[in-house]
Amino acid sequence: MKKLKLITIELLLLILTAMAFLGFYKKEEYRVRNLIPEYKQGMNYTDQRLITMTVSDEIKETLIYDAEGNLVEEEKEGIDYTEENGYKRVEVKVNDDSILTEENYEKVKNIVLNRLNGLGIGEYTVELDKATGQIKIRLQETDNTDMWAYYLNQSGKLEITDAETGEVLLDESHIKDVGLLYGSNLDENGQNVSYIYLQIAFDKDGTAKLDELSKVYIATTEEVENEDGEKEETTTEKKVAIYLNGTNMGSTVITNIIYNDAVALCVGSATDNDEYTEQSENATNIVKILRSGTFPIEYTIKDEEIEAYSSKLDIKFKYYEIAVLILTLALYIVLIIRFKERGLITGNLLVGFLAATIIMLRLTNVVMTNTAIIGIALAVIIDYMFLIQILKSKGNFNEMLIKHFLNWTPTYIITVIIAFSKMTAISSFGMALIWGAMIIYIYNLIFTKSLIDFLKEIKNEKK
Amino acid sequence: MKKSRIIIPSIMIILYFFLAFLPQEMQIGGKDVIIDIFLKMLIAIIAITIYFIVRFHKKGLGTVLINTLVIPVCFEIVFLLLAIFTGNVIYGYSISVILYILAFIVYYTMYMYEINKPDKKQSKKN
Repeated sequence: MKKLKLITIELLLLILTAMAFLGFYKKEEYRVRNLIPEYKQGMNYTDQRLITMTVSDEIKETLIYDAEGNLVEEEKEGIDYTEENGYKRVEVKVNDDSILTEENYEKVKNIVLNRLNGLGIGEYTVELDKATGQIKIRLQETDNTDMWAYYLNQSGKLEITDAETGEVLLDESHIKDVGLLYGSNLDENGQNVSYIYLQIAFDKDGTAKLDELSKVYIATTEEVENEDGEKEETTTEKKVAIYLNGTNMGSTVITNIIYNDAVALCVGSATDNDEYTEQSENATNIVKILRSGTFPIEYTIKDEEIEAYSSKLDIKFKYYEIAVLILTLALYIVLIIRFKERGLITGNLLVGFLAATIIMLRLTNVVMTNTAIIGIALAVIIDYMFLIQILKSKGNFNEMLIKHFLNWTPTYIITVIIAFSKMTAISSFGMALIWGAMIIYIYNLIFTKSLIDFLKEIKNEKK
Repeated sequence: MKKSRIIIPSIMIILYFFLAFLPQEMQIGGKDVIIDIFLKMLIAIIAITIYFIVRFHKKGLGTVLINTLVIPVCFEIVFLLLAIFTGNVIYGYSISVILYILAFIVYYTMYMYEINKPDKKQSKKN
């Protein structure tokens, strides 16, 4: 009867291990399906998007100087502006050599990092080549990657210009803060339309400038005499044009866009909830881009998908899985050396624990990263320490389990807090360890307790 | 107080920043992440201190406070200073981030082991 109990426990452990490492399959009509979900893998194990930002070497304009060194403002027909004729052509690059400094490259990199964090991207890497200023950003290929790449590519520029001359009147360098305003109105058909406005507050100089502009860029009404000699009221509008991230947002008199000493720009409108949520997310991202600042250097951005051959990545991932398995087996061997027969029997529990943790992480969709593997390894070590304690001591099992929990509580506190980190590399470590910790206590209550009781009975019988 | 309890986590924190001098520069964080980790660990330290006070206040409030609050906060200050010194960034691969968190886990585990050990003088008296 006792042997049967031992065989049942060991068989259950074997099934658990087989389920974790080989899968649990169900025959369906045309295929066999694994009931244990696949790992939700992190960036290192999936397709990636490589965004390469290269310092632009484009020519902005070519200036022509005559023999006396005067700038030729307008090219005339029939004149050959060549060096033979005494003219000098000077190419002006979009990036002057004086701004291509390491300090500016660092600035761009920090803006990129701010944008990545602002967009809530959990996993990424940024590499800066300090010599050339080239920046390589790697992101995980997901449904959101196109959107992230789009926002990373935005200039973050805001320009209020004279609609006629194009003269820049106010730009993003005076921005103090950016936020969102929401409003709603009834349209012509009586339908409720929600509006989302970008509220841009300027610094002291910017506000003063805005004040000045609000006196000039307005609608004025004048009485003009028409051909028949009658007086008529005509309204003329001096408009400003607004450019956000290089896109023209329209032209209007400035009083139409000033609200509470700040500029309010309509960036979205929606009539239903889904549209409103989408527009609101877009507006929030625009806010983050504007808050992150503008690149001091012009870049050309290339965006390419790096296909990770899934089979190759699976092999890479299995290496980590195998590394944890080797650690578990090493601890198993230590148990055998230290506790001989008892170590041999209880060591299986360690492998079973690893299997149970892996199944739980797959069921709960924890993102598997390199750090999550460290979390699992740490959970195995914590469980190993409990097994050592239980094999060395003769105390009550439940009391020891509670004591073990209390002793490891500081670790669990750290784990729970860091599980809420924005970065997947940190949160996945926390999540793996949280689930590992939960499994330690449930698993040990079910399996270890039964096995230890069995070992005690055997020992008593021998006596 | 065992010196190893201070030395091992210190080495781990310094090792974490030593990665900043790796030839290949690969950033995974930035100022935001440094602040995020710093604040999260600070919350954890406060929570753990409360836990230790409730459980071990008989061992002397001052001793418990020094070991669970003062020393870990010193680690945090070292971390912050090194972050400023190395330019507020996290370099290297993502595993290096965990080194910092593991440093605290190692510290508290060692302290827990130390505090749970029966007092030799007391045992002899008994």
